[in-house]
Parts: sequence; structure tokens; C-alpha cells
Amino acid sequence: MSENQNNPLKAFFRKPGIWIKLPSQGKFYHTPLAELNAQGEIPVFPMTAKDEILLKNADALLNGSAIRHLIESCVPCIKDIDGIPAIDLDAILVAIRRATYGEKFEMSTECACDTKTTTEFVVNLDAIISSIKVVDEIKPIVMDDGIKVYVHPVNIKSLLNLNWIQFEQMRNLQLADQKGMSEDEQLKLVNASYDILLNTSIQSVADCIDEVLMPDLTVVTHKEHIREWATQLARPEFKKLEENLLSLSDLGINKKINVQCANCDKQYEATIDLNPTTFFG
Amino acid sequence: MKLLKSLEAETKAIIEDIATLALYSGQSYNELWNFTHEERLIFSKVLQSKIKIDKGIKPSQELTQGMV
Repeated sequence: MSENQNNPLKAFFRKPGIWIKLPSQGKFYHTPLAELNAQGEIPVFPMTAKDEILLKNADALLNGSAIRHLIESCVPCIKDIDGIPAIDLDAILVAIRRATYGEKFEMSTECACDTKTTTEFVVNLDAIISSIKVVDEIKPIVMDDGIKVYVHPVNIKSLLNLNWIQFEQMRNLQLADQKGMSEDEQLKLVNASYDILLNTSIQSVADCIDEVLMPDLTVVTHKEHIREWATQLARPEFKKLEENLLSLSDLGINKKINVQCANCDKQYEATIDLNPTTFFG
Repeated sequence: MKLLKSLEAETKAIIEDIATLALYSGQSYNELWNFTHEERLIFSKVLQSKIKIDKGIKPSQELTQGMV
């Protein structure tokens, strides 16, 4: 199935399904985007059967190769896939789904009322795509001690790496439980897993910091100094940084939908789940 | 486990879809993997019409819900 990989005509096999505006407008990428038109839009192609089948492979989904391959195939103008900022990822996934299966996306949510009624509804992906917002600037995160942290969005490489490490640690713990390890050994393993996750998380956050402005207006840009500072932060402070960085990915696209419960008539907010395992199912 | 089984079932369904199209249309199995979802739907619809015409069934002779 890979005989076409080196074919110079590969890009001409399919016609672009749609053109979308990227929230980042090409900022934060190491390699400039090819084919960005005058309106700042890029072409997105529909998935082929080959792409669809890769999204059904659990291992490829977990280690991130399914997502990398999907973007390489459907958004060929992005060359630096690992460097895609998270603010663009959601818009890209919605556009690929729209280009492949059309504008309707059926989903269901459960109301928090006593009966836990499930409401099924159809989301119009065109409406979501047309409401993509361009992120002009990212405001610095102001810490309690007056330090200002200038950041850029987390990229796909960090996101996928974090997901993979989380999964690996969880699998190790499950295996330890199945092998019948003693409580002491299990505790050691839990602690080791926690350390690995924490270090990866600190590294991901530190990687997103461009500079730190201290109250006396001294600017720190040295990567290692920033990482060391992030490691020493108190838990609430670190959480503030982490949550602010994660919330950046919600800037470009509105994933919130108002739903009315079929049982209690109460309106509540549901979020469109863009997890590729279910979103492309 | 339930998710894994569902992914496996969906994989088999796509392969079966491609194999059916390849067998009935005579197109290359490898080439059909480059078809998009919409192209496969259109291809399948056109193929069904062709098979009916080959069998001598005119569209006007088809038994439809409205005639019952």
C-alpha cells in the first residue's frame, strides 16, 4: 500500500475538500506553511481508505503515528507536523472530518439530571469551521509573585509524547497488578511512574515558555534556567501555568454546544470530543 | 477491550468494502485504497446501476417503495 509514497504526483490524487483558516495563521511553526492563500487559508483533503484504516489501529492511535500520518496525508502543506501548535490541531481535525464525511456530525451527551437522559443531536461542522478565530496574540501568564511568563502553545510532539507516557505508565501499573506484585513493589512502581509523569509534564510546560519577566524587569530566556524554575514551582503555581497552556488550545475553535435535555428540559453545555478514536468512528 | 473489538470490526468492514468494489468493478485493489469515502459511495452507486443495466433491468422497471 506504500508504492505511491514517493510519487511526485501524489499531491494531485485528490482535490482539496475544503479550505480553512488556521487559528495560528502559520505563527509558531518552525517551517513556514506552503500554500497559504491570500485569505490566510490552507487546503484540507478528505481521508483515503488508507488513512481511515490507520485510524482504526489502536497502537498507531496510542503512539501518535496515526495522527501524524493523517495530517501528512490530508494537510500536505504542513511539513512540520510535530511542530503544529495545539491551537491548530482541533481546527485541522474538524476540517478533515468535514472534508471526508460531510458537514453533519452525530453525537450524544448525558444530562446531569437524576434520570441521566442521553440526548442525541447533530452538530453542523461547517458552522464550527466558519467560527474559527484567529489568535493574534497570547497574553502572558501573570504569577502570584508578579512574574510574567510569555508562552507559545504546546505542540503536537509534546502532546502526543505526554499521552504516550501516560498510557505506558498506566499499562505498567496494570501489569504489576496482574503479576501479583507485593504492595511494597507496587508502591515503588507507582512512585516511579508518578516521577516520570511529573518530569515529562514539567518538561512540556518549560518547552512552551519563551521568556520570563521578573518584577525588576529582568528577562530570563535561558531554557535550562526556565526549566529549573518550573521544577521548583509550588504545585498551585505550576498548575496555573499548566492549565493556562492547555486552555490555549480552546482559543481557535468553539467546541461548546448548548443542549436541551429531552427529559428535564434543562439547557446544559456539552463539549465536542475530538478524540480521533471516536471523532472519526 | 470493547473499543478494540469495535476498531477491529470497523477495519474488517473497510477491507470488505474495498475488496467488494475491486472484485465487482475489476479496478486494482491497491488503487481503490486511495479513494475517499465519498468517491467510494459514488463508485458503489454507479457500479450498482451498471450491474442492473447489464442484467437488463431498466430503472423504470425497478420495484420501489412507492409502488408497493
